[in-house]
Amino acid sequence: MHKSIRPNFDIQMHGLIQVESIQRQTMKEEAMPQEHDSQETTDISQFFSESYTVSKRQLGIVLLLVGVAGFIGILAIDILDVGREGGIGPAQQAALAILAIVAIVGALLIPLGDKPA
Amino acid sequence: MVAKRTIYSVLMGVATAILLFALVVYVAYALNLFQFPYDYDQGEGFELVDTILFSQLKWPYQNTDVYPFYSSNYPPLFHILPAPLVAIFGPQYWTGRLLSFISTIITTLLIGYAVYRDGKRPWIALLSGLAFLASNMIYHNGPLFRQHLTMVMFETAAVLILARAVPRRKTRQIALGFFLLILAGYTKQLAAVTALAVLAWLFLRNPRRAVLWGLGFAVTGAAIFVGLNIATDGEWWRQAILANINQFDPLQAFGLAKLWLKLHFALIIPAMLFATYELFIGRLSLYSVWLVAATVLGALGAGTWGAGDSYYATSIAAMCITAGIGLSKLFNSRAALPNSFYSQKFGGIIQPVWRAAQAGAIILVPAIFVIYGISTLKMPTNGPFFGEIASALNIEPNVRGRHFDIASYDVVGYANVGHFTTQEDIAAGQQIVALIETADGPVISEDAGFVLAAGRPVITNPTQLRNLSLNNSDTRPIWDGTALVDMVQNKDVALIILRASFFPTPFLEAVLEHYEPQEAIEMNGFTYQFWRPIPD
Repeated sequence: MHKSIRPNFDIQMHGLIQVESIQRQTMKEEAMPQEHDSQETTDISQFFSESYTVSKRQLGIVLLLVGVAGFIGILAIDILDVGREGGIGPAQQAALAILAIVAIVGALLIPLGDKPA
Repeated sequence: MVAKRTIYSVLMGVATAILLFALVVYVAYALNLFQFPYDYDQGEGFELVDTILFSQLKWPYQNTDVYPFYSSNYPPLFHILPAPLVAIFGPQYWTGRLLSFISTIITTLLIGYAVYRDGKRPWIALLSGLAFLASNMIYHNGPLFRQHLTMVMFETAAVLILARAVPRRKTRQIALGFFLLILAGYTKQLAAVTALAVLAWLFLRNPRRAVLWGLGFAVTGAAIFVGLNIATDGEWWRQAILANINQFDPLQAFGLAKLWLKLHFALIIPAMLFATYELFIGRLSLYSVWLVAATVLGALGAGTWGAGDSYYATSIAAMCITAGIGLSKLFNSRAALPNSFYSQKFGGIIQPVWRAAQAGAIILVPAIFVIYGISTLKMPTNGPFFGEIASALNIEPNVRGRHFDIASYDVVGYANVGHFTTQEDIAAGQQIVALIETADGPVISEDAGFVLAAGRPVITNPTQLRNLSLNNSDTRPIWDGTALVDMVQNKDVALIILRASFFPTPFLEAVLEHYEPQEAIEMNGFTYQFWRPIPD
């Protein structure tokens, strides 16, 4: 009797785990509908391989560097080009704002690790 | 549940009615323009001249230093497409206007399909498509003889195909997507923004494929470019590239950005939120990358001389798709936020907001489309049908005394078009044509349509000459206006018609010195001045 219940219980548990697993998978797919390429990796040593994809961390690092370098570069125009009049104009202000946003977004992406960008 | 469904249906019905009304106004405006035989928007006539040249198997990229001082500064495709119609029906404005109008309808269908494909919500897909046409910036440029909206159609089709083909590695479909991008680029140069977005997204997914496809794309595009340059004896490079480097005006850029935000905020917010969601929690789709690239680069481009609100058209198409998909996702009640650093760290804040958005979607989503429809309102305020509606809704005209545009015509760079033309406008155009017909010698007109209607040769493309002169320098001499200015100084031109004085400064100086204004005719809200030689 005991023996006959135990396997049934296992089967039921196994079934529940399977259902949960399918539900979780479905929820994940619904929440993230974009298709994944098969066998993706974010290992940078495989940069030019068929399976490499850029991670959120890598994208974050690039955006942070672009944002910071661009921001400094635009400020440097006024410092280096001393003959120029007018200071930081509205176009430069807009560019500084955009680059600051780029840098912040980049910094926020870095903790997301190896998830595909 | 039944009550919720009813509320949703009623609100969605209201949103649909508002956006369908916008469609009716758009179709009526297009039909009105198809019947108008002269320039409506500045520059349309020169697009027609380019098409005529193609229908005669001639290049419009010509030497602007010698008579007739004419050249185009746009890529060829938009002018090639209606060339057979012009060859059959003659130099008619409706040919290019119809092409542009059809392009906007196709783009609308593509947007609707993209939203349905990813969101599986047909009603939201329908409204997302209609939202594209309802945008003031699409509406008033849509049925013009201008190439911008045809470029957007090719861009949207390319993005739609690539968004699905790249993850599935469908080589033929990817090739088709890039082919459409090339068509977009040779319709208008601004398509480079979409090409950049596509390559950036492809790079994120797989750098190897991005490099390989990018190389193929660049080689094909460059081969066409070199071919055009050889065929036109270098004029393609001078007229379409060197002359197109225009000065940036921050006031115009900021004014248009503010207006774009004011008109479209209801859909910009969900579109940007969805892009943010994909960036930090999900995975970036091509639509989100396209949205950001087209918005930032389009906004910058819109601030250059000669540009305008049409530069937001690509961004608006991307906004409609991204917002539509994002809003459709809210109805997926089983969808959960994927595990990520931020959903773990700030789950206490994000999860309730996510659930509240899902719970409120039934009201929120239709409300967004209702607000969008109201915030983009424009319509004629006279006539038997629109006049009654305007009167019932208490809408007063704010443009030309016969049209209401919530965007008004006050922002620099916002094309002052969208109002319907009248019989008086056509009569005024006929008056202008009659004056040209009686002119005893060559005629230079800032709008080409009158000269074409009078059967006279079109001399110069004013804005192109202005672009060339502004980019001309000792180190890069691209314009020599001596022969043209000599013609004016010698009073060889019998009649010069000015509207906005978009000519090179030396030309205008010569006109001021040797010519005098004798008449002025108002057509379509613009004043045309007729300058004749001052008697010796």
